[in-house]
Amino acid sequence: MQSSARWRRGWTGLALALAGALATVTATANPLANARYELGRGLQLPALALTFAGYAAVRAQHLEHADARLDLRDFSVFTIWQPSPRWQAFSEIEFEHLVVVDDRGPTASDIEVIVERLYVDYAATDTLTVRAGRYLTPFGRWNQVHAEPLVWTVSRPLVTQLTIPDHGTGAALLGSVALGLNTLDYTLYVDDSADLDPVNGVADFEDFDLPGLSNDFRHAGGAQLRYHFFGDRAELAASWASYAFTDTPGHMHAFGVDGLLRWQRLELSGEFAWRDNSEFRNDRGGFVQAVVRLVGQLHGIGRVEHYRSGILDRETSRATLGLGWRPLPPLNFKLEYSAGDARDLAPDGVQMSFSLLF
Amino acid sequence: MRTTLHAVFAALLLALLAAGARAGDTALAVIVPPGHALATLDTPTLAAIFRRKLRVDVDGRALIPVNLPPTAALRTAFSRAVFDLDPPAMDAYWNERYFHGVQPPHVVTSVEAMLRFVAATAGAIGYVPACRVDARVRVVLTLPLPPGFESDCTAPSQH
Repeated sequence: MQSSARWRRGWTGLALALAGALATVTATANPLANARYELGRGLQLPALALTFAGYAAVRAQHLEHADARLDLRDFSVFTIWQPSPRWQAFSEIEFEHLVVVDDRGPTASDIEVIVERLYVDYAATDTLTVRAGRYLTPFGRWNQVHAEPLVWTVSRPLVTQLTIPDHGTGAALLGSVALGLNTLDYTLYVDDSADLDPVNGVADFEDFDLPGLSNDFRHAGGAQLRYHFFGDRAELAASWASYAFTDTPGHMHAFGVDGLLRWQRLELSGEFAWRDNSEFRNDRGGFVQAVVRLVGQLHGIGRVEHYRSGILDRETSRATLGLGWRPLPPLNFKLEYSAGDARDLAPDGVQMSFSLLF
Repeated sequence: MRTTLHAVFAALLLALLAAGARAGDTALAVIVPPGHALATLDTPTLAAIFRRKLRVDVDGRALIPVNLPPTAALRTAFSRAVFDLDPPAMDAYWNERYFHGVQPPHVVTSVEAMLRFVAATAGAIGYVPACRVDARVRVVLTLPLPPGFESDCTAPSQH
């Protein structure tokens, strides 16, 4: 029932995006004038103020207590429509698990169609944009850039999955303010998923199957400040959110900090979060990750992380070692091994992926 | 006597012309169309425009930054002067912006193409060697070229 509801939401979102595009096409004399495509930058149709973009990812896994598996895991299509300088509409429709190959052979029975994002932006001033719709929760950094081609590892740190739901549905105010040579990005948001999301309560987790944990807001409010400095080579951010889950009792208050530093061959990043659970023990956790460019576009990656779930009354530490190769900016090859002390929560094993921005 | 004065005058004139050419080729001019609302610009605002964080002006008109190709020496000079980064160092930034539906600046292939595009496009902002500025565009900011960069002011189609 829940899966078919997500299908309906996904196909409805796709239909809305296509209907909008079709209306624009039929109203334009030469819709393909000055059309251009570039790998990693999408298909731009300036006459229609439309851009089609997206990414795809294939993942192979051999994890403990599970069969080896090849998964055409993500095929995401972005539709961007900017009919005027102040207005922009954005949608991301994601097709997950298009083809899965395991010991049963290939199957397409696990396909999911998901509306990842669907929102309208209005640039009210040069430093204030108003957003309405479904967006990625602005808590931490990883969640807002979690697409396979953009991150260094196949696996996702626990703190970025378990602290707060991935998506909100509601409204946000966001913008960027110059502070001398540096920049401060800000976001304020409110969520009313209980009333605005027609399939509220069915969101799953990216890497886990965790009965007893919800990945949906019922209601939420939050804010994030992100400071860019050192010639934009460094970032430091603070996040706060107050919310209730859909299927978990109690009210939560979450606080997080994250940072990023890129200097010559090295990239250092980390996120830490603490959550007060009114009905359970607190959650807390974080990760630290280092990426070193070894030779050419081959990189070595190392990450350590720890998370305590108050709701599950479990805690785990995990380490990941990997290699990443980015022969071109839109392409990303990864190979990694992860091991931890809670194998039923996050099994040990090898993962690899190929992904691209198209 | 007259021949000597003529020779001195010619030498002075040649020296002045050479000095003018050398001054032009060590500066980078940020340009807009003549009717653009911007009177002047500072480096932080220029950086925000070229990072596509600032996409409309105070009156809601589109700001359209224009780059030279990433392999162009002047593009590298501009990137170092404004961002203190080479163009490849910004690949990760543009990939993340792409994920959020934001495209990098439009790219033209030459300095002459830059002049034509900026002159003909309302809201455009680009850059050329200061010595290549002409009546088609207006300068809103002049930046010194980083050490090691010099522009060729005599070749119309070079970067």
